[in-house]
Amino acid sequence: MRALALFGRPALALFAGAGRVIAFAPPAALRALGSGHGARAAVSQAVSIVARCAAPVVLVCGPIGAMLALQGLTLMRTFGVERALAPLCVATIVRELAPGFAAVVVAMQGGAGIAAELGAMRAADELDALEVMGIDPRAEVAGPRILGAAVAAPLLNGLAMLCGVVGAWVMAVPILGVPNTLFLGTALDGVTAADVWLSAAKTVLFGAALGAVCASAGFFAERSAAGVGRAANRAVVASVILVLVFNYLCNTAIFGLRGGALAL
Amino acid sequence: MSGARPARSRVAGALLDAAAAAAFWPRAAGATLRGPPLVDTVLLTLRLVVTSVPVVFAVTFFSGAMLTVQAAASLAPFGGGALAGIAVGFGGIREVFPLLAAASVAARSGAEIASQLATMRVTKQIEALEVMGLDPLRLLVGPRIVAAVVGTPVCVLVGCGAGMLGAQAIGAWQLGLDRGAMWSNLWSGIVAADLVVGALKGLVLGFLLGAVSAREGLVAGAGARGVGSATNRAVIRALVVVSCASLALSSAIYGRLAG
Amino acid sequence: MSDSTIPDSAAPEHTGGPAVLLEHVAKRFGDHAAIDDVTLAIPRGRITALLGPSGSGKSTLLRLITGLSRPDAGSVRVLGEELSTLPRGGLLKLRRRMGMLFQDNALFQSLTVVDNVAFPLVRVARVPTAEAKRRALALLEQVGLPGLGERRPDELSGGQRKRVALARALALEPEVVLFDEPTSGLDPQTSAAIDALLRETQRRLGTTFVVITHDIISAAAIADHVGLLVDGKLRAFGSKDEVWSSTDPQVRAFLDRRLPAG
Ligand SMILES: Nc1ncnc2c1ncn2[C@@H]1O[C@H](COP(=O)(O)OP(=O)(O)OP(=O)(O)O)[C@@H](O)[C@H]1O
Ligand SMILES: [Mg+2]
Repeated sequence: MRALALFGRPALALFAGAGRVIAFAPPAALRALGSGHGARAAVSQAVSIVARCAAPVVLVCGPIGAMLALQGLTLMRTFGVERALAPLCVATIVRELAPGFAAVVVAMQGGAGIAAELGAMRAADELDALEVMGIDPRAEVAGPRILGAAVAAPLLNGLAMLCGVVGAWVMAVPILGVPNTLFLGTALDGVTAADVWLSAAKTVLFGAALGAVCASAGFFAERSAAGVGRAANRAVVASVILVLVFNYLCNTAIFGLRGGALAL
Repeated sequence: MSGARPARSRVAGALLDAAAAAAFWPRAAGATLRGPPLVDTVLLTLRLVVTSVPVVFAVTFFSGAMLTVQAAASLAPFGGGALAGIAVGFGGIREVFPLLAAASVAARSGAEIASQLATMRVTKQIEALEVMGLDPLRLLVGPRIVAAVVGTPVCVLVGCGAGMLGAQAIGAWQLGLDRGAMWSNLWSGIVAADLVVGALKGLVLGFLLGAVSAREGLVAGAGARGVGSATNRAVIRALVVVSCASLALSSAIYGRLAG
Repeated sequence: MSDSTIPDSAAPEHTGGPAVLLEHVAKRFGDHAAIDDVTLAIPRGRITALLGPSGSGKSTLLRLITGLSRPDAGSVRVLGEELSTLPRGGLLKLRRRMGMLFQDNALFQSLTVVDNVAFPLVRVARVPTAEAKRRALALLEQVGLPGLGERRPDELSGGQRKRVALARALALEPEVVLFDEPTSGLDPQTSAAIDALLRETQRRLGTTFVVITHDIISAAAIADHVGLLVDGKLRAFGSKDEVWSSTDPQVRAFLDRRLPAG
């Protein structure tokens, strides 16, 4: 009974929250898409998210690429397969780390920003003011931000791939002394164009999902300073978890239930 | 809009702000050493662990799962399953799980630290303490830093365990690898020292994310908007600082071994 | 409508009936009745002040009139339209005929002052941007704020923000304008200036103004009609003189504590 209460309440809150996001976000995004103004606002939101997230993406994904090369090489040298380093690094970055961490940065910078902004508008009655003017705040404020996140995420994913690979190269070639020709010659062996497109498609999905979660967290924030802080906090946590769960589900869908080429 | 400002002065502004933010770290450390109030410290530490552990668990479990699916696919030409288990265990415990655990603590508890302190700032509670002759750094920041420093290593270890469980679950149930072999492959690249290193990294990352978050909360702008953007800045800055510090620590500790 | 429930003095003076008509409206939060069986007809073309102590349900009543929240019982009619049967699109359309000044102004922080005022013109009335800006500047001049158009709302004083919010509320030439405590948080002189501005604007436009306030001085200065809300119940409603000379003990208790004798 106690256990039921302990897990039941968060689970119920989770379902209620998910239901609210599903009821709120798609109509908001569609209505924004349907109006010329909403679509233009979505573009400017996308631009602003990219501008705000570009530096953090570089600062996060560069080190992660470098770490991957460092640990990868330690492992590869013990097994004597140094030539597998570049393909493994590039493939892991393109398929997983870039979309995953680009989405995490978009969640933490762009998504928390969306929740904070909408929450502040809720607390200052700005959303009600729109309602009273006869403007639907869902289509006017929330929709463009959800669409903007969906557009910005794949662009930032591209940047994350680039930074990750450069970070890996910097660690592998100048620092750890892997031959440059070996690294560059084998870099693209592990990936195909399809990987890049799938990675981009994944991030569109992540961007839309985290935009939806963050926009509804802000839209339904309590009307106080503390409420806005809590909304931004909740938005970040929920969207980071959501991104990782989605990433796993996407991988399973893409590589198949049994992990692609693995025949065991 | 702020875009009107020339790019160069924006960069200069960002660097100055980063320097000011880093200058807060020694003050945070000093506040922590001046003896934070005991009860608050214990309660905040418990709260951090209790609220962050579920997030850390979810994040690292699914990353372990995701890495395993991906590694199994891309390592298939080099011997497949066995190597995938080794690679996930090795890279996961040394880098990915500690980093993700710290990032999750930043998202869950760092943001909470920032939003609480920012709320106190905009509702003038911090000024009220100062007027009473009390030291807000010692009373408010100290306990939160201790909580982060103590709680983050715990979260890192939980994250390592959860990541391994995620990898094992997916390896055994979804990829159909042999359970015993998968589990021993996962751990075969790891030595006990790696877990100690992870916990030590957790200490440092915990201090950094606590100090970054506290600072952003303390300098919050006015109103609900100020609280929201302080929370936002705290999260993203903590993420950047934590990933850069994680790389620096790894290079310092493991760099020699790889060369 | 049944005249028995509506005080005579509030009988419609124009042919269109009352601007706002509430009948047996109730709104509960948990087991607390914020609005309890309120019946009220607000006449067109006049300033009606709704007075009441803090927590008496004034803001709640305003949210019911704008349709921002729905009553648990009773009917709300605004400009002849019953809100509860209106679909969302119809509600949004009806609101374009209403203006509202929020207690904390609710100016858009991301826009300049002139863009705040031009916003409803551009986005609702679809006036071209340049023309909307011109009209917004004219409105700002009417409310006594020439030359501040390019500032941001947070660079203004409290009284200036109220004026911007008033200009924005008037931009669409609404038929009913609702004010939630337009003078709260302002010093007596600024309050008096805002009151005078409201009075002058209403005389010029002939619009229906509904002003929520707990400031009796302010109500005395601007209102044609006065209502008194206590604990969610409408204790008095009528012309200003009628209410001012009421003998109801609860009404006297509220008025006498604030209006010094004489
Ligand atoms: N969203 C809500 N949830 C619960 N209770 C509420 C809510 N909104 C208002 N109340 C309660 O309803 C009552 C009336 O509130 P309302 O805001 O209408 O008062 P008011 O007359 O505008 O007061 P003030 O002059 O202080 O603004 C109060 O007791 C308040 O606590
Ligand atoms: Mg009120």
